[in-house]
Amino acid sequence: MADSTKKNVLEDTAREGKGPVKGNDRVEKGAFSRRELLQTLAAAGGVALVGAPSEVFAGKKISGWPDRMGMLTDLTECVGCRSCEKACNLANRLPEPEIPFDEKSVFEKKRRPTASAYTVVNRYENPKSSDRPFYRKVQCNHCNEPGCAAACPVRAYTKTPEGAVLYNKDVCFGCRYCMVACPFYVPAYDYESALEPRIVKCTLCHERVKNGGMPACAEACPAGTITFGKREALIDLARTRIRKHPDRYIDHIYGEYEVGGTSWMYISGIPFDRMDFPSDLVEKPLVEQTKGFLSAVPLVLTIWPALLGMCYAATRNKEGKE
Amino acid sequence: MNRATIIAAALALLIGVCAAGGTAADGGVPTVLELGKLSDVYEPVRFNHAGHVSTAGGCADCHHQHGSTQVQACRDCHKIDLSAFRKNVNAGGLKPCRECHAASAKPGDIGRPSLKAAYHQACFKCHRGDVGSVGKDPKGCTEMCHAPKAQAKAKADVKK
Repeated sequence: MADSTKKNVLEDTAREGKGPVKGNDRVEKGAFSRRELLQTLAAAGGVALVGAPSEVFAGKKISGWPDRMGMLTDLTECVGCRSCEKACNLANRLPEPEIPFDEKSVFEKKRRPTASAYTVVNRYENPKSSDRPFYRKVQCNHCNEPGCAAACPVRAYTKTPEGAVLYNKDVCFGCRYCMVACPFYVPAYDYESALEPRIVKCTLCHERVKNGGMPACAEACPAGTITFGKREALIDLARTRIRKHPDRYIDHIYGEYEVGGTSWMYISGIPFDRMDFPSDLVEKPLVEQTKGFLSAVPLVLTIWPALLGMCYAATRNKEGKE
Repeated sequence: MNRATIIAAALALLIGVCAAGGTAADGGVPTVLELGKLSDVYEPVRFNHAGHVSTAGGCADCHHQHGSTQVQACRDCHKIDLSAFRKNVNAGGLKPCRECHAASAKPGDIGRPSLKAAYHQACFKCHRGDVGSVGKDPKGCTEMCHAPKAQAKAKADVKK
């Protein structure tokens, strides 16, 4: 946690005599030394003002909506036909791509979702057989506690009970904090419309789902790679597949715990980092990384000046006497 | 039109019907099947069943219900007579895929692949890279099994 680290840093700095504390010999002669005072203040300030609020304000365990939907992509099934890309393009009425959907030259470089393609498929080498490459479909993972929503200063993002993370362009003013906050580099900026800022990303076909349908990509997939269903049931399904075919899958459901869990999850035959999945993600929601610190900022700004003022007054008087 | 021509024409018609309809040839085993129930964007697939019978290891390679008593009982296809169990096959007794795999996947029905996925998964088992171009090139699917309808129509128009 950021606050405890901060406290440690403060204590360490004080202990090692670095920073503002200098001339130990001279000060330690006093009954209540400056170093002790600083240490006490730092510890008290750290715990009382930073540590405690983080306990108070920390988000309660989000089990979310138990019935929320999700997707499971079985990366061992995908054959790279790009039907999902095409279906997404049609369902969202996106412009026709420059390179047609049955063209394999797109696999020569790794792509990211853009304003005109909410999902893209990338190709990765199969270490066991060059004839059977792996493919990874990239799109918004619809985090349970989305970093984009936490970073957005105007609440343009909403996590819906159905599972989708939706974006509202009417309130967005184009700061693009969400693009920085997303651990999966998903939100794309529509640079074509500079005067009307617009972030673009997958919507998990929210309208279709609400009307009892399923996301266009899942419906179009001919290989049964993408399964749409309740998130809890998908985790069970993934576990069953991994248990039944331990030689086919690695024992990891990507998205079950990453950044607090995502609606979109993956199972794979090779380690996820070899397919450019971020592998250094924490299991806690990203918002919890900053919550303690940010909630303490107002308190720190109001109370610390007074404390530091006292500290200054105490030490100045002492130095004046010497 | 003489008699010979009529007979020849009738024979040709008969062979044509057999091929297209996938009529039983031997023990109820189809020869060529036209899989067109889901045909929408692509042409129906003309599946050479006889060709696959000779190359596949056994029926269960594709018909996964074979050997699984949960899906279908042995006696649905075999006469339970030990002396001739293996030879006594009525393949027509096998359940068609569509009886279990729904043509349109329903949200939440996650345990069973849709009919489209079930067909494709059966093909992809072998036709991935090593046998065929599926998985190496998105065009491989159209070259191997089914051309897009628009493309097929354009080709036919050119021929005319």
